[in-house]
Amino acid sequence: MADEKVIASAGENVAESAVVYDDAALAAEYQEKRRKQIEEDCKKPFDPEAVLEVRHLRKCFPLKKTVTGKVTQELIAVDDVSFKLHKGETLGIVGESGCGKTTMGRAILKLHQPTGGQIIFDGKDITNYKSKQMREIRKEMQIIFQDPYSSLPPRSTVGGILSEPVQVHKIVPKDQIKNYVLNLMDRCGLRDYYYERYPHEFSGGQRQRICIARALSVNPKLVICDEPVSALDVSIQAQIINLLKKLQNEMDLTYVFISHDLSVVKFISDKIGVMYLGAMMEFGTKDAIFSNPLHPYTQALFSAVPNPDPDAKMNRVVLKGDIPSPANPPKGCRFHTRCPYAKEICKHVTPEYKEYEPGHFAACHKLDEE
Amino acid sequence: MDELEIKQDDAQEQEVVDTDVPLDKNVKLMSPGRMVARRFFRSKLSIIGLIMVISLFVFSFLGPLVYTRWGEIELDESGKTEYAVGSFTHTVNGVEYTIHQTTETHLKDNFLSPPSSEHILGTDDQGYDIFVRLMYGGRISLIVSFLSVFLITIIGVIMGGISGYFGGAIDNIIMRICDILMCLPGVPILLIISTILDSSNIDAKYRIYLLMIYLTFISWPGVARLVRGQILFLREQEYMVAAEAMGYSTSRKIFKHLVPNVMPQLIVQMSLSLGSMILYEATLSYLNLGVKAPYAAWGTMINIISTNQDILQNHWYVWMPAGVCIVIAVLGFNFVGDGLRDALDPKARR
Repeated sequence: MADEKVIASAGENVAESAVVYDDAALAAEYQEKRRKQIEEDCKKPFDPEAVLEVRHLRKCFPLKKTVTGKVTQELIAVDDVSFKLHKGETLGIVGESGCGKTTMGRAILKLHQPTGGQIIFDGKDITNYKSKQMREIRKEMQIIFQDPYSSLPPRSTVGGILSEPVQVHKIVPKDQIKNYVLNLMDRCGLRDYYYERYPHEFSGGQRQRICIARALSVNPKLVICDEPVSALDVSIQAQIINLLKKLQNEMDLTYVFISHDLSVVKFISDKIGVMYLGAMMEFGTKDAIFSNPLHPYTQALFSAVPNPDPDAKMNRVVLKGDIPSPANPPKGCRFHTRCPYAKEICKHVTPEYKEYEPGHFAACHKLDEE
Repeated sequence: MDELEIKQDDAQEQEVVDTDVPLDKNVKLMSPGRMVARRFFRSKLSIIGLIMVISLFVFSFLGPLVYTRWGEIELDESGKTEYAVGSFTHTVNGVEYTIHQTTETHLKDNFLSPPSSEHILGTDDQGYDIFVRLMYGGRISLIVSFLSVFLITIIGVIMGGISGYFGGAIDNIIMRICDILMCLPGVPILLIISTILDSSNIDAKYRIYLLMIYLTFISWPGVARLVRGQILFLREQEYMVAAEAMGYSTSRKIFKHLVPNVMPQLIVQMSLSLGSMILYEATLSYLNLGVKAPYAAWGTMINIISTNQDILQNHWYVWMPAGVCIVIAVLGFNFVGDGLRDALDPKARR
């Protein structure tokens, strides 16, 4: 029996029935290959044009620890995510709930310390910045949260909320703070007499405007929008998205726009990244992704978008089952448990994240066959 | 994706003008502080409590300035004449004689005199004016309890804040210290400290402060736990993540963002523990551990009855007023505390 065992690696064209996969060896091989790749990539010079460059970002949360503090089980929330983002661009990140979009956003801002990989912001490798160094750089990168209700301190007035960061980071001289804040409020569509009011007096849309104004008060270069509109109703969503677009043009902002709403992402993004279970499945420009989705998961996501035309024939790809637990991700391709095209190789070999068209990346064995 | 285009057109028309029902400029909404005040004054009990507390303050701090007829340790030396009536029988040669005798004693101090125009509430067994001593006793009680509650709160907020914010090993250490301090029995150790103070010649005026420092030392864990629990909850709120993302310093995050949100619970806790501190002070003085004669405290004024049964039975004006004062103070602080708790509860709207 042992003699018949053939060890297959990715891309090898062996008749499926004849192949017996040795999972342990494959995993070791993959790990080794990946480690080398990461090492190599992390030594590359930084792209001077990119505002944000993320290389092999990884974030694990310990689930179980031994008495001595050694982690025995961990949850891999973000696994090997890489992308580049240039000034003034918007990157839309889509994916199901629990696929690590928010964790990725927060890890980029180092609100969670990344477990591995590199974050290069504005030509500086901030991955290992201490919290004091981070404090200096916080005014360059900001975040807008999903829930406008819990992200505003309940006991400060709008004026207080907006002038505090300006004061802390010394954006303008002290005597000009009020004018600066009023100007900012005006640009974000807030009326000047809101200055003395408290957050609890406002509706969700207005609160989100306050959150946006707060994030922009320090003149950031990069703003991570963590599902900024998913807590709002549709008419307000459109206003907020348009506000974000307008402010992007005015202030030359770069956005990472996290959302699970594809139509919103299509509207605002220049580039789109599709995440599944912590990993980037496909990455490319908006046009490339929408006109030619490569990954079966992306295709399934797009086919789930409702079409207002009742007569349109829809060729839906319905995914079976639930998203697997990130604490125990499937071996091989992490999507194989739900993939309609899954083959034997997908169950054992992790597909490589490769560039299939210029600027269009994906990770799928099916693409290698073609 | 047609839907999207429609959305886009819609939004462009409405840009900047928000369709959220805008609050009229002239509608004055109340700040959280004013809303709390309104809810507080809606309750009759809290108004009564506030009146009790304020009148005690006025009585103890302004009273001695206005009513200067007697001092705290000024004896009424106007003298007192006591008549003792006695009769005894003698039998001489079978004849019985009854002798009625009245003894007239002239005393230097006018003690145990009932309420009169001279002494509003009479004098005690030494000849001190009770009304005036009530005021001075009130001063001691209020100063001591405010001071120790203030200290307890400061230490509790700092320790609880550090513990809750940083967590991990620091949290563990502080919480174990709290556990140990909470195990210490209050009164037995106070007795020991008091004995030590007796032998170390400390001015009678200051011993109560030393004892209260000890009480502070064993009482801060309660506040620390309260603050820690609240901060553990608040730390997970998204606006704290926002504060982190804003690059605020740790001290700003703790003292400008966390502590103000703990204040409501803290204020309630403070007003309730003021009452219990007054009781503690009175207990100490009653046990002769706190303020000692000749200085006045409500506790020592009640203590007079413990040595003299006659006063308990026949001279109510000596000990009753001090007891009433203690009851008023404790009730007042508790009413205010309860009122504040209801008023600060964010779920109770309007």
